[in-house]
Amino acid sequence: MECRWVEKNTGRVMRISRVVRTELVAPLSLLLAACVSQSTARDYGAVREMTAARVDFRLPEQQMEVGRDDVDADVRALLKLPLTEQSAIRIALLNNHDLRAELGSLGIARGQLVQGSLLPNPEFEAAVLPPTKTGNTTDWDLGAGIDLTSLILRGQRSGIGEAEVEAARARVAAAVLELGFHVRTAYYSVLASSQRLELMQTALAAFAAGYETARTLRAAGNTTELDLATERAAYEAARVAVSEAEADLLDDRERLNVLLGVHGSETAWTVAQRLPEIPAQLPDQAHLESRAIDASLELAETRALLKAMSRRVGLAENSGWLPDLSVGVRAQRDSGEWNVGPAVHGTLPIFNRQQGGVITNQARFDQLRDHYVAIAVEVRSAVRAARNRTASAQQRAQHYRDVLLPARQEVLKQATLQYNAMQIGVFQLLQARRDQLDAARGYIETLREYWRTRAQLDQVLAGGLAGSVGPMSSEQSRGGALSSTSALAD
Amino acid sequence: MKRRDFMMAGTVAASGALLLQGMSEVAHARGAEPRRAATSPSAQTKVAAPGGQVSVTTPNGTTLPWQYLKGVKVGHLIAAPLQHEFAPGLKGECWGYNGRTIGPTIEAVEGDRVRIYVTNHLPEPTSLHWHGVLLPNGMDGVAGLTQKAIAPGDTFKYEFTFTRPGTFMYHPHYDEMTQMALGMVGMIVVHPRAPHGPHVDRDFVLMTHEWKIRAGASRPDPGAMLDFNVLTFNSKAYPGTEPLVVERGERVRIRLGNLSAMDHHPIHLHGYYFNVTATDGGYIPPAGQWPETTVLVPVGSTRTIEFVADVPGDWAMHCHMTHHVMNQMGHDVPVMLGADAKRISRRVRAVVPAYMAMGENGMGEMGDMGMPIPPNSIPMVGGKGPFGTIDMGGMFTILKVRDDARSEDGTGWHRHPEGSVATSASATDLAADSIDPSRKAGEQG
Repeated sequence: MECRWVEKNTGRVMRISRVVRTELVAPLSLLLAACVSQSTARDYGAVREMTAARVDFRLPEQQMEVGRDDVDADVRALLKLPLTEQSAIRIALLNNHDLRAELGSLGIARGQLVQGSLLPNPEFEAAVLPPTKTGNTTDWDLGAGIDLTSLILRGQRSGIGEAEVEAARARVAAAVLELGFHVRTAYYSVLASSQRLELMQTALAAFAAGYETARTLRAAGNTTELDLATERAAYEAARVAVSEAEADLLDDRERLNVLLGVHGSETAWTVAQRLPEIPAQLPDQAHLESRAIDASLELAETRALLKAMSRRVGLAENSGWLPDLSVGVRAQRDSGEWNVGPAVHGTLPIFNRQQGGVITNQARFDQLRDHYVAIAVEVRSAVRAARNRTASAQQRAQHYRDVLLPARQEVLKQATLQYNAMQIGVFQLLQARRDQLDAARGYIETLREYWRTRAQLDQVLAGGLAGSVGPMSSEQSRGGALSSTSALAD
Repeated sequence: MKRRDFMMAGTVAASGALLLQGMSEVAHARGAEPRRAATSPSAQTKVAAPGGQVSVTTPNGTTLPWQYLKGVKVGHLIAAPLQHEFAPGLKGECWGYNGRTIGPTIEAVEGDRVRIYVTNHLPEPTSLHWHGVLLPNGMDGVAGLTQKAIAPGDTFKYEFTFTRPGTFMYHPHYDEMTQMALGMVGMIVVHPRAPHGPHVDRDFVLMTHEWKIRAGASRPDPGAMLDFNVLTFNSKAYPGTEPLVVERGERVRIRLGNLSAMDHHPIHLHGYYFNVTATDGGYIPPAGQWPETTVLVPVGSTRTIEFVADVPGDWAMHCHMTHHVMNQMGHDVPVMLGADAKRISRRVRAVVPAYMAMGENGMGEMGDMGMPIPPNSIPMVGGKGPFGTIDMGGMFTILKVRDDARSEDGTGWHRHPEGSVATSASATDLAADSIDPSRKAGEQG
């Protein structure tokens, strides 16, 4: 309760008197620690609310403890079931240590705020002059005081800390969104690679059928060594291709493993889904750019940083003009008599009025403001790019689904009829089947692209960062919020 | 006398529209006395020329009707696209004359003056060449050489006298490759004023031809040079060919023509030997005729054979080139014969469940497997016979010799006398003749 009061109350005089009083209480440091812990929980709650308003997943109610090694029971339970997109995100939110580290930055900002809000320690001095041969009394000179300037500027320093806490909340919320985004795309990639592998295994079976047929025909004396060698070469090449596809799937699983924060036996998870069909409609296209701007957490963070920087400018200006003043009392016992009176001590702001600090901070502010505009330009571009790629992938996927796949199916059907009519041979029939599988593979790749770009679009509209424009490699989009900012600027 | 009768019939058939609807039957019915009605199988055996020469029968075809105008036989051929059925299950987008391929047989008598109008309803020019007929050079019908081509929509008039009897053909002499590949062929029969040789009771014409129609397609491919897959008598592939029905003891004449693009056809008749009595060059005197069971009919030639049908039965008649008695055979498929079909099937069905191995034991039963095939195609299709599937197609037909030809409408089968059909040998037979079926081939030496 005390802490909440400290948080809320901004009346400077009140606070001073209150804290002066509490300074006298012994378990001061313990109390302070409790206050900070509760404030951090409130920061976490704020981040949780910010993200919940933007995406369809939630941070766990309680913040995971930083530095925990054991995998939570929830995570273990989720890993036992086949993964879904949502369960993968939940696991990552519980178990991704990069995210936990990022959440730790809330404490860093909070600590800086607390540090800036602390009262200056009281100063005291004492001098004892023992009696001399000529004098007959011990003289005392006692003084106590406090740094008045520091007290006066304490409020402004708190203001900076508060703005930086706000920035940290936005940054951490962006990191949460980004993790969800990466888990989504990594999950889709696993699905796509897994389905691609299935198709390639079926294609391999078709090559195997061709090879087996050639061997059988060769054994019957019906075909040449050339035909047999040709079929065999095609089969062996298909085996290599399947092996590559297996490696691709393993890579994709590893990318997701890292995001899920799992290792060892926990990496044996399976997936429940297949790549979803594309929805008939794109998400709402109205006011895309302004929605992305409104939602952007990076812009919110930068706004908070701008606020903090403007406060730093103000602090520098004020501290430049204010003399360094300490006030207190002084007591002297001279010749056996106590004399008590007020005391003041200070410097005069004549030469050093923090002019350099003001210029530096002003320049930093200007820099940040330009950076803000640049980010806004990039966010607008990112949402357009994501929309364009999503629309393009959607069109291609629809074309695959509605036109190309049925056309390939028809080719196979007609090839079967022609085979039955003995117009073509079994090798041509198998080729028609493989062509159909190739088209299916193209469809899966297009679906993969659709869901990746769709996740980008959702991500930008939710206010998160979604990598750079164009095809995104997962390496490129890794890293924290700020490093992703630079990726966006690349 | 006969001539006047024909002319009377001609006045009945004066209408041009009727002319195109097979008026010949009407004309014959009214103008010709049925000969040997008691034993004639149909009303189609009619006298067409002096000396009791019977009119020709074109199985699956017709004869061009004439108008008789001032001593001239006037006919009209209309060249136009049409849809033609080669056999049940296969229709083609063809070109022909008077709505059919082969075109109507032109039947005349030596000395007849004819005037034939040729109307072009094709999308390209055409001309008509009277193959083997001796006539004025300007009537020979070679576009560019002896006349202008007949433009689409135009009608040309050909007029000449048949000075020599014989079996001839007609076809375009403009873009022959396309126009003949699509079906523009026909036969010409010119009876002599006085019959040659013994009296003939049945006179058939059969035009051989070859086409390429990909299974499931319907347009004959004019570019085909080698891989023809539909082989026809009178533009019909078996089982679409009408049988030749004759009565036991009748003398039969078959006039064979060949306007195939690339192939000569050795036509083999079962059950008989015959004499080759004429070519498109003319009648062969008896001393020059020679007996055969197979007559080679070269491209661009006619051959006429005669024999006495004295043995009843269902006698096959066909081109002896094995690929010419198949329907829409594919030629570019792997040989499956002798292969272990189970090994292949297991692997292929894993990826193509509809797959069925075929041909590993031969191809004789293909037509009976009933697997789905492309619409409008008759690959491997044969006919139904009295003992099972007749696994032949293409240039195949049946000579049906009957004791009473009137009882045969063409669909019946010969009734074999008891014990005269080959059957599975009984154990008693095998034992009596010391035949051991378990003996391996090659052990007999």
